Amino acid sequence: MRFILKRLLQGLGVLLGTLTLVFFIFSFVPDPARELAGQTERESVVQAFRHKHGLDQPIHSRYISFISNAVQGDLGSSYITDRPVMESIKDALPATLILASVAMFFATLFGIAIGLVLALFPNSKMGDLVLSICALGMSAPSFVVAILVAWLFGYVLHSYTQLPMTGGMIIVDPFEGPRLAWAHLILPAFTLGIRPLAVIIQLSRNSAIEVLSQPYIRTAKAKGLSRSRILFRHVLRNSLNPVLTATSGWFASMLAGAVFVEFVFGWKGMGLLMFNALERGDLPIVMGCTLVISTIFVLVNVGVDILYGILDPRVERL
Amino acid sequence: MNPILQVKNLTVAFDKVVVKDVCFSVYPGQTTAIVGESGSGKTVTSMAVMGLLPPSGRIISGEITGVNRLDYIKNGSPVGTEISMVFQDPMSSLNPSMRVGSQVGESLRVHLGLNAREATQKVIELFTEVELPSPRETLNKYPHELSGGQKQRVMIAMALACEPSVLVADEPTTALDVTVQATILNLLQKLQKERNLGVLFISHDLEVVRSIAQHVIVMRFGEIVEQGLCLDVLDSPSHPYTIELINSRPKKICEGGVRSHQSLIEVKNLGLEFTTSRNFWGNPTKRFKAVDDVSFIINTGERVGIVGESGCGKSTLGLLMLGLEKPSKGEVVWKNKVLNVEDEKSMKEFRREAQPVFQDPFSALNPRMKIGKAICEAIRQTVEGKKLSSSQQLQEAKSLLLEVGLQEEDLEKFPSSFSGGMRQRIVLARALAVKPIFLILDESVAALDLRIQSQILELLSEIQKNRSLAYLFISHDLDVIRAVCDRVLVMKDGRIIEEGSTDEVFNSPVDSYTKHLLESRPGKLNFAS
Repeated sequence: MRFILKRLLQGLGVLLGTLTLVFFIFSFVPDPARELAGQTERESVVQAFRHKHGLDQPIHSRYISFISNAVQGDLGSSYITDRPVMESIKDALPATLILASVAMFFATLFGIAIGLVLALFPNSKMGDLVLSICALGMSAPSFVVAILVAWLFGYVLHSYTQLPMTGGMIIVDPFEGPRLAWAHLILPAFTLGIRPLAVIIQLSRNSAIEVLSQPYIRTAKAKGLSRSRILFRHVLRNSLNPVLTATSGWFASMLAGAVFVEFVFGWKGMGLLMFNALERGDLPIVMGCTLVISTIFVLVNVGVDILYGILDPRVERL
Repeated sequence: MNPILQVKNLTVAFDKVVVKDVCFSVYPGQTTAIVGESGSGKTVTSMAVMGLLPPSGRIISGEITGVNRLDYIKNGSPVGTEISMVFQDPMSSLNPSMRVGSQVGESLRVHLGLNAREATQKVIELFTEVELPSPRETLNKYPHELSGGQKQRVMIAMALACEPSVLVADEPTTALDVTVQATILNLLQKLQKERNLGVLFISHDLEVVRSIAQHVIVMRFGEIVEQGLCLDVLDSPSHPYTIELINSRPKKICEGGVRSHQSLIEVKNLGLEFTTSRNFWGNPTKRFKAVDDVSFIINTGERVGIVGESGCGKSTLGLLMLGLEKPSKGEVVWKNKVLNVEDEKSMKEFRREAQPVFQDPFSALNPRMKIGKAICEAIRQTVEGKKLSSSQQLQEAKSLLLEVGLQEEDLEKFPSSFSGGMRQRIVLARALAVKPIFLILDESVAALDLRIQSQILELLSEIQKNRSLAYLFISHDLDVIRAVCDRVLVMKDGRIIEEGSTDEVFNSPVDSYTKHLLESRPGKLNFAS
């Protein structure tokens, strides 16, 4: 428990550091009020905008009020739409959470399963073939894969798949109001999952081959255990550590928004939100997203540290 | 008496035949031992019996039959039930992420169909039987929380869980300290008696075999050279190889070279601490003293040994003396000058004059570098060596190889073409290339077969005499220390607890721990039976 508390406190430090850094970097951009209002707008309107967003305050008091508001859950409002940042994030975050979780869940599940099977036949032709496909999947950039997948399954094969090329998670029906569109999830999640799948297959295969050569596997065989029992009780858990390391970092960065994939498929998640905000110089949204993303990173890392300890009891918690 | 395991004309091949025409039997309540050096095929034989040969190996011909004429080859070995095995290295033979209780219970649940509660109950009984301290608590521990001896007890409990009639024990005590070795061997004998167990015991150590086995098989290059009743074979061996094996236990190798009373290296109140636990703010709360206030002197030309069990701090002490680890207190005095790890110039000179030789000759040589090149590289580290032309360097390397008992032609070979013993000779030649005056030999012969071991020890004494070297020999093996050291230091828990001339310490030890160590040596084993 003390270990977890300590990691969380450290995470808080990381959070504060990131926010400070981003805040001061953005304080160097030219006056957002003038930029957004345009060259010809009257000075009084620009002043009113500055006053509303606190831009007339000196930088240190802006910083302090940003932090203290953030602690109270107020991240300000968008320069452009005037909508509270919290609300925009509340809309975007679940979409990204679902997309990333589904992609990562299936990538991990199939990745480990395929990896284990390949480990049992390390020198087979089939194994070599799967590994070459993995190398291909790993090296293809996601915007290329995204466009290919959207075109192939959403357009060429549309009559079979019935899947749309693009679309967010929520459809607003003119008569029945908003509803969830699960079918929209399939293609982006598939696209997002390809690279993790390829990496996890390779990692878990190599790791399982390593574990299979360990003396304790020989012991398990000498106990007369069945092959499947050895695989599930003795090999699986011991070969998960490298997979966990790779998966967790990746998962965290996916939660930060898979910009390319969200962009191509028009999936209204964190990546798209932040991308648009950066493009328009909408600082409050950028800051809000930074806060949320760093929090996610910290939480995922603490979670992973706890998992390490469960998977391998030898991990020391100093 | 009917054998419970009978092996007839067993031939096993990988790329080539590694076990040829081997026959032996194991009887209930008795121990059959297979002895031989590494590569003799003794482990392959046991693996064939267990049906655990790797995919590249196969049984060419022969019969393996168990109780009720069960054909092991045709029906598969009944591992886990009729026959089970204890391995050499208990550290890596247990699953690191599974509690030891469930590892033992697993066999019971799979083979006897017990439920979780019954299995736990049985495991507690087993743990009590193998004399594990507080069996109930041990259930929930992970392997890394147990000591080496305790792990081996868990392995034994696991092997005996389903009451097999044959136990295969492959070097079950080789990786353990001598004192632990004695208790484990005692335990095995007790259990064998109680359960009327047939044991197939695989070992390189004739003294261990003599103390526990009734039948013995001597193997070499995959073939049996001699077999019979244990005492007959060991007391009156007929085959020359058996005789050589018996004579290869380290014997006292007489006098060393010229000794002086001039201090070469002196260790003053040397200590090294590690932090093992920290509080919330990162301040240390618990420290472990790996080396604790150690002081001694080694004179020029003197042969000093440090003996102790694993974890006593002897290797750490060696690293401290070489300046490879920074002491937390105390100092090392080299030729009357305090050694300063930060002063690169004097350290360079010191590192040339004080050379280490480590345990594993396989990882000590660059596999892609020819022997000649490796030695010449070392020669160039000295001032005189730098001035030599490359042909002169080669000449020098040649004479070094001859000095360690290798051939001229070996200069052009890669390390992969040498055996362990020959590699250790090469490592020695490379260490000598810089003309050191002091060697630290850290378990330098521990990885070698006994016969090779005694050859290397003889070589070492000869070199020491010819070059008037001083050395510090670090070893867990009392016999090795006795053979090649004038003076011996006994270490325990980071401290030196006894010090004296080798004869004094071995013949009339003062400290009780030293006495215990000496009595635990395999040759001295006294069994209750």
